[in-house]
Amino acid sequence: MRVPMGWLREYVDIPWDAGELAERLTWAGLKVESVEEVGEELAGLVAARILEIRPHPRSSGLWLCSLEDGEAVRQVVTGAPGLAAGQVVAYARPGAVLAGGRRLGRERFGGELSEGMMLAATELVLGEEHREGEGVLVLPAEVTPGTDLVRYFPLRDTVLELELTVNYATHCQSILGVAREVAALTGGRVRLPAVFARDYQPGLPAGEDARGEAARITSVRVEDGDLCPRYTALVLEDVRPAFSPVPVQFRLHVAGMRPLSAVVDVTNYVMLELGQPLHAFDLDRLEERRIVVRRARDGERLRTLDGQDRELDCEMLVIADAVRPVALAGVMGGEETEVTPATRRVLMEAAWFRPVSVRRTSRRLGLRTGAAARFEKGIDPAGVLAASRRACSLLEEMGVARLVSGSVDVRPSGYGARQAPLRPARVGAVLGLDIRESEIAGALGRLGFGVDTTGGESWRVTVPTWRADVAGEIDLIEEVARLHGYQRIPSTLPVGSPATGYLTREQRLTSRAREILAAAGLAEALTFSLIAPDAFDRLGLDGDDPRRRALTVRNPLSVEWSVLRTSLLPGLLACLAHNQAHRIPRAGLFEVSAVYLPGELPPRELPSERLYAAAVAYGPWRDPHWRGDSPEADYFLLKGVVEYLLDALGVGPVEFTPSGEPFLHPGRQARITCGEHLLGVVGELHPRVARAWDLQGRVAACELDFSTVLALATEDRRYRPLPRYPAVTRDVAFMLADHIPAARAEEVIRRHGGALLESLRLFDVYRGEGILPGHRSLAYSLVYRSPDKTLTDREVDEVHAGVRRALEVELGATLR
Amino acid sequence: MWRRLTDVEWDWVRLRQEAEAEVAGAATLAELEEVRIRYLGRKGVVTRALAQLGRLPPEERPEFGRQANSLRQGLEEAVARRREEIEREEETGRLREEAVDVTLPGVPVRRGSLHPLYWVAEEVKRIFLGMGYRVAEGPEVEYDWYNFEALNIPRDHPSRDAQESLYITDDILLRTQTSPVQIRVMQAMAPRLPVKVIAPGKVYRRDTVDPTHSFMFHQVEGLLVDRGVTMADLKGTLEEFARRLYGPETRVRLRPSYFPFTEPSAELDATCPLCGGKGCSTCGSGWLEMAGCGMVHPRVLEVGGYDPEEVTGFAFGMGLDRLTMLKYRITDLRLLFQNDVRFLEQFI
Repeated sequence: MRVPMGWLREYVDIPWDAGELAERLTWAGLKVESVEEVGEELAGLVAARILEIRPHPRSSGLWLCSLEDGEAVRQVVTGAPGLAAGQVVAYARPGAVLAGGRRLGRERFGGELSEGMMLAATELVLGEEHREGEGVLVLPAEVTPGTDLVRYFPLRDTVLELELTVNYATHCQSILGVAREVAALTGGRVRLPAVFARDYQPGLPAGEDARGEAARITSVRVEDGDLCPRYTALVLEDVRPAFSPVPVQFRLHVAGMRPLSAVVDVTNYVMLELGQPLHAFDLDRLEERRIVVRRARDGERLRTLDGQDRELDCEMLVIADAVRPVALAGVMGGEETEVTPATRRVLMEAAWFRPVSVRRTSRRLGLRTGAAARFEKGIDPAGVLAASRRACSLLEEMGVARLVSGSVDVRPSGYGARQAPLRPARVGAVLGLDIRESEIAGALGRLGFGVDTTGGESWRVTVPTWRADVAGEIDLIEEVARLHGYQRIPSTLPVGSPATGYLTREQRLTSRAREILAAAGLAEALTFSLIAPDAFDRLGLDGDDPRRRALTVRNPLSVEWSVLRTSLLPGLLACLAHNQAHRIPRAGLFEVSAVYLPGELPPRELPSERLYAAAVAYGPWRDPHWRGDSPEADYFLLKGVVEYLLDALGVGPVEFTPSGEPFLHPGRQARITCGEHLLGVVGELHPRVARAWDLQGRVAACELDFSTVLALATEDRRYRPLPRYPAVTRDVAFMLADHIPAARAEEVIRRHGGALLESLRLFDVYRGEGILPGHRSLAYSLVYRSPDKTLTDREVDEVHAGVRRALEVELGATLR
Repeated sequence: MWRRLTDVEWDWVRLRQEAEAEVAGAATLAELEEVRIRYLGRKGVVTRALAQLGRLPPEERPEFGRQANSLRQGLEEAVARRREEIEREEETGRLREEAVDVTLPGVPVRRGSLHPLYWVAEEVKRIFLGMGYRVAEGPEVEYDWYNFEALNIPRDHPSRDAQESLYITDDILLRTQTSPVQIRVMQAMAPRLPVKVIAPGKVYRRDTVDPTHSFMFHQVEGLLVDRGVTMADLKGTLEEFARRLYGPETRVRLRPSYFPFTEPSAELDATCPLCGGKGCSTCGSGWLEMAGCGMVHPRVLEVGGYDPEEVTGFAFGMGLDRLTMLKYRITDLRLLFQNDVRFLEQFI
């Protein structure tokens, strides 16, 4: 909302400069985004008298004018018709600067010098090419040549750009509305236009008034009174085509609207001024010259003023004549009944449409207009007809139309000031400040509320009709707060019921997991929850893979981000690819975040949001170093990370068994289980999948269902006594067929090592000389210890021999 | 015998001089050992001299024994001293050989890191935990009812414009704010008091990704419902928070604003931590918007299961991404989601 200060001053005295006004409005809840000086660039625009006018010697249709501009006599070549010697016109001297910054100079037309130019109103106000049918702006004859037109009109103003919140948009989308706020702040009074003040109707019952000439010429029927509680029509006759006076054009321009014709300009002008949208119909183009307010019929069409053909539906309220829709109620008029230069009679519509209806129509058609913006916030029903009369009287003053007597005013609903209760004690109790009852009543009074304090502890407050946003006590408290000043609210700390702050077990463990993964050397990533629909194909998932059951956003901005992930890997792989594309030699990322697993599809209930933990890595695990290079990220490195994480969370024992995920290397992947719980999978990316993400080389990846991990995790830690007796270490190396996993051998060792076997560690895996094909040699170091005595060699030898024998007998291992 | 013994008597001094010279002259432990054996070994000079003691006339024995023992003791001490000297020299030499170029780089530890948003969220949580708040969570995929209707934002409410939402179905959407957690927490808690939670989390809007916007970002919601909670308490609480986050000099102010689910509503500004409120390129005026906030609307309290005549409450919401960008002086929001390790690894 743009508010020219010059315009505002017509309605209210302002004791402050623009900066201070902006500050005070902002603190009262009307945020001033910016203060802009308009017209500062203008220069060299003056009144000039035509001394002489004669045809151009060589070009027909052009004229040579001699002008006296207060400084000199100048020659201008013009094509403008209808000029005569003696007229005072708007003139831009050579070197003049027009709105928008265009600078004029000297030119030659057909060999004749032309200095500067004579201006039409459009050129003077907008700095743009004049409109069709628009001549040079002729000023009153008494204006002295050389008069600065920027001051004369004026063409300069300071504009406040308000960023209105939804609640204040109800009553502040007009100069009058802002003026009321200013008056509330200064304690001053608002000056209303006389016609508006006279015809303002604070309250009326439902009913129909059809009076005078207007009622004989036209009629109004409202078929849907729920959506249109009031519709009024005035009739103008003897309408002639004209442009608005410069001050009107200038204000429209500064407020951000385009001047068109006088009639249209005045409807816009009054909307900006009073907040009441108006629409002018060419009365003679209305079938049977009457108005029907009704819902559109499905499939009905209307070509709106912007030249668009629009298909309507029964949710939309339209203004129709006897046969067809002629306007979208409260949104935009139709092209066929718009006012044109040929228009002789105008039906001036001023109505009160329900916000919901206007909003729905405007949204459905994607049509945002000034009228819709005001109706959908709620207008002042008391000013509907008064605003219409104000517009008509302006047109009469301009001499472009004559208002016929009477009016049509159809009110399916009545209206009037509403009442709201207010307990003055509640104001201080909610705001937490000491405020006197007189201050409360004063603040409300200045905002136009009627305050009846006779109830003592409970007041009756009358809400003005222009405050559609105020309904209950809390709204009144807010009004008092903003006028009294938010700055006056003190800072206190709550002194209420005792409360202790703590994190839940899941919250603590999740933070711990993230710290562990970082400690393991991975960088925490943050990826979007939305992924591309082709991610599942790129992972090579089967057609019936449950991870394909994903929720899709119905209205995504980009299809790239339209599916709610069921795995963290697609997002992480894309980020890994970003790093590779930037030639970063190594990267390891992890994320602990939600995936979204729907129940039925399409969903009627919310999906299960499960926490997953995933990690991906490529490249050397550590930076190359002069002491030797580091291993590449692979299955075993990520497996180590997983083991570290699960250990730190107290989850175990954990088993890794070969698995068959389609997106992982078939020979380098394992399912991670703990008892009967499946925790996740770890492996290396299938080369096909890596290619699908433009990833080069070996990529390790793992994903855990972290919600399950959390359920199994424990924060319990028990101290194990330190050993009191020495340990005995024995190694065993044996050749084992490849198809027997090491885990089997370990299981045999543990079983036969029994209570004395404290720990075992694989320290060598060897293939090559001396080892049969399809076999490898495994070498374990076994630590034996007894908790209650020093073991003798004989005792250890006995157990160890049992272990060796078992490896031979149970696994067919060849001892080395 | 006599002769020789008299000679020997004279010899004690020379013997000691010679032996001590040899001990001092030993350069290595091995040489020293040789010397020691020559004098003190089983067949060494001193040992042998002592072995002759029995053959001396009794009156000479004490003097001879004294002399021999004194020599032995003196030599043993000299050898021990010399051994220590040689050992120290040898160790010094060995250490000199082991010297390294201390400017060579250390063995790199693989450095993990936590996302900058994690650090900021943790800090926010820590501050509010200290003030007695708990951390609540709510679903990111949410019913329209919780996200809007329950928060006093019906279908056709104009404020839905400002928050274009990503919808799954007519009734299910990606939450546009953390505020629906207010409703869920109140409904779970009612009628117990106080309700005192913060709720950090992801939120989604239909926005294109640019240096200051993203369709996914992060908020932290705060809610206190209790008897007698005031707007002054809201200001004081957020002032306390701002001071712990930005430092004790921080000042705050409440500016009127509008949210459908609070009334009165406000924006909370804090003095810019970069310039201390003097005004700089980041803040302009010296103030930075920190939170949208207000007193919980009576209708929202009712939906939550509380009687607005009995209790009042305040609520606030902050953008965690903005706090993060400010803390680390990050100027492009997209960096938070790009996951370039050169960026991430700065937040160790």
